[in-house]
Amino acid sequence: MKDERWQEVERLYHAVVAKPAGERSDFLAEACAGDEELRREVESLLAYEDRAETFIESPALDMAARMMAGEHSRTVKVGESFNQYRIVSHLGSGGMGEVYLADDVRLRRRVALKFLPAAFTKDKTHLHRFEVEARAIAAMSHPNACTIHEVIETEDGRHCIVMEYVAGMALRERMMSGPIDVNEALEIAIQIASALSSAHAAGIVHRDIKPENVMLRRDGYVKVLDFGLAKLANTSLDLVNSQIETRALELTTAPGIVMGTVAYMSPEQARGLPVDLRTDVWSLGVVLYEMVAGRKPFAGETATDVIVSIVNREPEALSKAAPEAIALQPIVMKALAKDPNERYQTAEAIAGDLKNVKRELDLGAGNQRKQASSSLRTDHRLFNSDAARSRKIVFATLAIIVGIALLSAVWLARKWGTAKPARTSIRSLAVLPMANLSGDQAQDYFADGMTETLIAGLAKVAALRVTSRTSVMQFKDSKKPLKDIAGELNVDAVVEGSVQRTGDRIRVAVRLLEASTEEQLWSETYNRDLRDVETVQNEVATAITQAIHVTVTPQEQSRLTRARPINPAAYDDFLRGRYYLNSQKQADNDKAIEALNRAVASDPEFARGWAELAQAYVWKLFLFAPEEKDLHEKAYVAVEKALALDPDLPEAYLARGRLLWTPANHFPHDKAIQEYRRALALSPGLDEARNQLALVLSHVGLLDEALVELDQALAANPSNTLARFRVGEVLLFQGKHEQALEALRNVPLDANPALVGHQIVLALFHLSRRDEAAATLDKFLKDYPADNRGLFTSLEAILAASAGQHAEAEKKIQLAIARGRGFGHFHHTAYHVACAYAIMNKHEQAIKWLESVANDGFPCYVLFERDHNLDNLRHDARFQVLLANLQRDMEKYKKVLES
Amino acid sequence: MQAQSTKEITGLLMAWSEGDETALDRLAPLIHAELHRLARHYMRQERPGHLLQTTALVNEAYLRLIDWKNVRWQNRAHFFGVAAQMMRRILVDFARERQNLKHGGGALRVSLGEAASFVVHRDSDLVALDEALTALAQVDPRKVRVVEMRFFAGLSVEEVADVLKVSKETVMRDWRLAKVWLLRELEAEAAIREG
Repeated sequence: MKDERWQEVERLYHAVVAKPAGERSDFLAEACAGDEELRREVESLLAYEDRAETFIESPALDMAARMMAGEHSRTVKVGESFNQYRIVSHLGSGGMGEVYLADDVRLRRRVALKFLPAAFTKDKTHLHRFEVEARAIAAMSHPNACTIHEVIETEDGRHCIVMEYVAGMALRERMMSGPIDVNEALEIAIQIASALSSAHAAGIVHRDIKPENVMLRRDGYVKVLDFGLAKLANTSLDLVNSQIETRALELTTAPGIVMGTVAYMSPEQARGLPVDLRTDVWSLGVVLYEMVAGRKPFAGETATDVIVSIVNREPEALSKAAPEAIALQPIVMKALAKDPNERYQTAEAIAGDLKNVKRELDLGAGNQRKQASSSLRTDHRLFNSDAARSRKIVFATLAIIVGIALLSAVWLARKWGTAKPARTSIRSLAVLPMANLSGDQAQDYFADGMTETLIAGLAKVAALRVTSRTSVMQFKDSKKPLKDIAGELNVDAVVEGSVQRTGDRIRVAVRLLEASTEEQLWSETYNRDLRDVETVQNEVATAITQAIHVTVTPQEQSRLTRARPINPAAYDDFLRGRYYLNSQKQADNDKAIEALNRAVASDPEFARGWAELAQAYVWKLFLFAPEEKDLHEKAYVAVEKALALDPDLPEAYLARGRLLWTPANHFPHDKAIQEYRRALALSPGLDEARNQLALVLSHVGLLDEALVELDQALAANPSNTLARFRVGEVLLFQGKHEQALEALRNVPLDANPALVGHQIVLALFHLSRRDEAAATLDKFLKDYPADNRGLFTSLEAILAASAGQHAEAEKKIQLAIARGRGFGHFHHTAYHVACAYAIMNKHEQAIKWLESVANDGFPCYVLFERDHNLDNLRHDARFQVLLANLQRDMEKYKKVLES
Repeated sequence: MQAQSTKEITGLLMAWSEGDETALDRLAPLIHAELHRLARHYMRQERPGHLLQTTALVNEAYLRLIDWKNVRWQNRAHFFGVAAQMMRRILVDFARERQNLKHGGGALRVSLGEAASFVVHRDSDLVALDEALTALAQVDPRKVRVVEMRFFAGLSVEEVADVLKVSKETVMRDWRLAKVWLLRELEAEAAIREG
């Protein structure tokens, strides 16, 4: 290009960029006066104006250093995909890796991907340890801990943590705008402590609590990030000691720069000594101090100074540093005790004290508001005396309550005397269907919905066994005496009541009766606006737990009391939807989907509406329309909407587990286990989640564990026939053929004829009742000739093989494969094929099929190990290797379950 | 020790500017040491957002390499020109080596595409940028010097203006146009490579 030409381009370019965006094009056209080439040249440069903003703005040395540090960091492009994750944008970078926002295209959710620097992951032992810990964290499922979904390894060997995307502000940013108000600081600290205590219970120490690792969501939720990561960093970069040395060294050359992490280290951590959970308590103390004081308790010009201060000096008292936060002084002091033994010994303990202060402050604030405005100092004194007074009130009230409780206990003990066994506690109850007093049968769904919500609410309390909806519904309008119903349901107490709805008002009457005596333990009537229906339900549930003195954990309590005003139209549709959902007939399922869709359309923030909609889709997918592809997506969307609005919805996790654990997804056992565990942690009485969990466990060989879950599922809901079937199946896998047969015979066949039938045939076969097995098989094949999974046909192959009819067996094998192949859930058929080959002593094929069974979702170690059909393979080295691998996998899943 | 190495660098720079190519080989390890030092910092650094701290550290590193305040050169412009070119040579060589190392010699080039929307962040990008700069030198050599000094030598706009004896505004305009030009060139190159 000629010089003059280039100068013209340059002049024009700067002239154009000086114009507002809207005028540029016209201006350029005019300035070029028909010189199209010039116009194109300038325009093509203008096209890069936006991108140029950040291009090469950070110096090359910095960039090259980052490349070295990350090795692979920042080599991720927008639009690039890793597994089901598509990168949307870069969120940030740091020593712990580059963080990207990504779309999980399969689960339709936003996630954050953190690519770990190669330096952290090159040591396989450390990496493995981290992965184990990550699984523990993933299973932890605490609302205040940023959830880790999984750790993936990309094709080129990079490791990446897939975690919950937390939209909000880092506590560090919040701190930039000055000290945080005591109440808000308390709220934040309580939530951090809550996440920590849950992590500590799971054996995880955070080690790096600091404002950068705490995110504040707009809805008030606090999320603690990077659990377990600090350990990974420490272990791979040698000891903490060496880190500090390097830090100190660097800082002598770069004074005035204070390293972030050092300031939050506990004395033992700073000295490179072993740390335990109490290091997190310390760091929380530092964060709390900094929040209210607006400055760090231990500061210094260099990292070395900071460390000296941490180890040797006492921080300036809060009374001076933040007089308005005087109430926190004792807590901060105790958290910042140099000797870990003098500190709070658990995060729970500090959480308890924080909550107490918060309660006192709330009371004090209430009183304060009543006072006329006065100077800060007077206020302060007032407030203290108020707090003291309120403490007295609390004690007095407690004394009265204790007194009453003692009196009642004495009274009850007398009443029951020794004549009958004293029932000291109620640990199981059934909520009987609430009567509909609206005088309109069409309102039944409303009363039923109330019943269900109460059951669901009470089922959240782990210490209480609550009979499931399915089991109690059979007693709707029953004239049986209460005592008999309670006996049939095997419960200590029953709840009964009525609901009357008039327009937008509701009247709810409830009472709680001791089962054997029909003694009324509690009763209440509520007259409310329909909008407050959730509040009423919560109040009833809470009152019941109090009446029977059952232990309710703080988390359970918070879930019990969570309520929001409800749009009556949406609620109405919601209840209708649930009503139809439970009938599990195709037409009703359609109605349920329709109603629930209306519910979320009129109230898009209705979390439970979304959760139930997801459930409705899942049932449709599993029962009526497995081939309808977009159902899957719709269900995912509903699940994710529900969880985004309320991460504590057990039904949503149940639905997600079922959506995940499919042939198309290659049966991700660990993920499914985690989803169900999460659902059960939120609602221990959710029997379908137990049944589904048992299903997964039985596939990975954790058979005893599966039976435990099934027992509990059946205790909660004796009419869960699939759980009943599964008991038989698991017993069969365990080689307990007699018991298995008995259990299977007790399952109503209509539950799923193919499933129940084929296991009965196998049980008979194992019990050497071959003729009976063959006859039963013939009958099933006659009744269900399509045999669409090839299950029955594969059993024919086993029978033929064991009868020595190898040609016939081979024929049946091929037929079974042809029939079953299109069917996703094929691994059971494939297993039978392997058995048939093993019986015929065809090792090659048998092992090939067993390997495919294991890879395809059925790595059932115990079955493989015990099944006599595989006995011919026992001395084959390949089979032994396979078994060893399966056993290792099983241990892995066990860890997932236990974590 | 610090002062010594700065002095050493200055000496090597002089030698290089006078045509001693071996000086570059002796300079490279010193720059690599700075790189490692910074990299170590990034590896430990907790979370993004410590912009101030990072900037300070990078400046610190540059100061150790090119202590422009304490170096008495008769021709400051010449010194910085040399220093910036030296940084360019060494950093680009470094990137090229790593790139070859990673891909077993067959330099795999990757499109800048959207990636360029934030920063250059691949070794291959640095190599491509070097080539684009060579092309820009044919059109407008001063802009290349601005880029070298800003990007490779980490100088501020003021410092560049001071060295080039032009106004800050001119530096800003050069910088702005150079960046769009380079981006366009990089994308065109990438498109050609990808066919």
